[in-house]
Amino acid sequence: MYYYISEPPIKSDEQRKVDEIKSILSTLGIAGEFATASPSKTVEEYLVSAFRKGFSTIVGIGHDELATKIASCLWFSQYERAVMGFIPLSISQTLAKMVGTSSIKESCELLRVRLIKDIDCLVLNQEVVAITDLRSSVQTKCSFRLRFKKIELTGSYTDLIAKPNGEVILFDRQFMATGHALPIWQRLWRNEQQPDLARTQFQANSWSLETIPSQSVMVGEAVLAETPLTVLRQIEALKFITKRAKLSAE
Amino acid sequence: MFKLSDQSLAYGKPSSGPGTVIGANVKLLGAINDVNDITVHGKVEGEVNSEKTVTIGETAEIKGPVSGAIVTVAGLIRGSIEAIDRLEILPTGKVYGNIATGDLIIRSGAKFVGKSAVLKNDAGKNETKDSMGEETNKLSDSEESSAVYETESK
Repeated sequence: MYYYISEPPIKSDEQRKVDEIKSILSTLGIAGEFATASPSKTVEEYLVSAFRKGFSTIVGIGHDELATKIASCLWFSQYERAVMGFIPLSISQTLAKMVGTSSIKESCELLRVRLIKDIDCLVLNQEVVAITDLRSSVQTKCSFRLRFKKIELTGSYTDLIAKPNGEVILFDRQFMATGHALPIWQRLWRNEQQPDLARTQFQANSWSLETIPSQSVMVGEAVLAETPLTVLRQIEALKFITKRAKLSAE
Repeated sequence: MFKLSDQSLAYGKPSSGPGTVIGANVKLLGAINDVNDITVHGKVEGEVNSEKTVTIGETAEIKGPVSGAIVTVAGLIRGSIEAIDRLEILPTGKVYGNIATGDLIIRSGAKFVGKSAVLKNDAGKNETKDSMGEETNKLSDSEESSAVYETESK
């Protein structure tokens, strides 16, 4: 049985989309119970209620932020039978790309096909879980200290991306622009493509980040946490309904 | 010491990925170990160990030992280098330390101060290379030979 949780509509056409989704799910024969999170009853409270009623598949309808809330609740509840699905309201969202769908109808049909994959996630500060890329972007570069195991990295960044597969990428746009890279005459003389000197990339399952000043780390447009930050990657931590192509590609 | 390969094995997943890159604006303290390629453009105080290729960029400064199957040096290394298959020191490369490799190429303009030793390849033979326009290190036929020399040519 499927338990669907949506958010209050933000844009004018979102309620129409949710109604369309309900209609498609009913046609597909997988209409379950619907709930809309609100200040009076949160996502966490709805999930507790869903588990008590015997629902094991929780499907979010909305944006990346809702997916994060549901994933966090499922992870911290440690409910072993729980399976998560998602119907993104916008295909431009990170989660839409992760699920692998290009339309609302396709997202609904995926739920019926029910291909389940164990996905990795990132646990931030032991408080919140991210199943899509984390990002931190600043206009003016900020200093950072990043530690993983016995390694310490220091430097500056303007953009940070952390992926659930453990990949961490830091980039400094300002460093490239201020000419600290190879002198231009060298590049022209040798006609070589300049390497991406301001990019740092590595793989880590746990790491901590401090920045000066404190920076926000986001999923989509939602702020998940602020630095200082500890990130712990959990491998194959959540069961997620996704598209067959994604399964075979990986 | 941080070992990516150990972590991969611990979780039962095959080792794969784009490797490690240290940007020119970053300083690293500690030891990098990666089963994949490592590229350094910044400063490292510690070890750099790869099972594949290690590329030291022009802006890189390494204080510590470097090891890999193939090591290419365009920056500064103060420490030993072990390159199982090949070590190439490019014109902007500076190496202060001992090296051991199966195949050594020192380009014109490079700086190398230290001892060199030959690593035996799988065929059991030591090979020397002599290419046009390059200054190379000619090695003896003994299994391990060492020489103390400075070479700096323009």
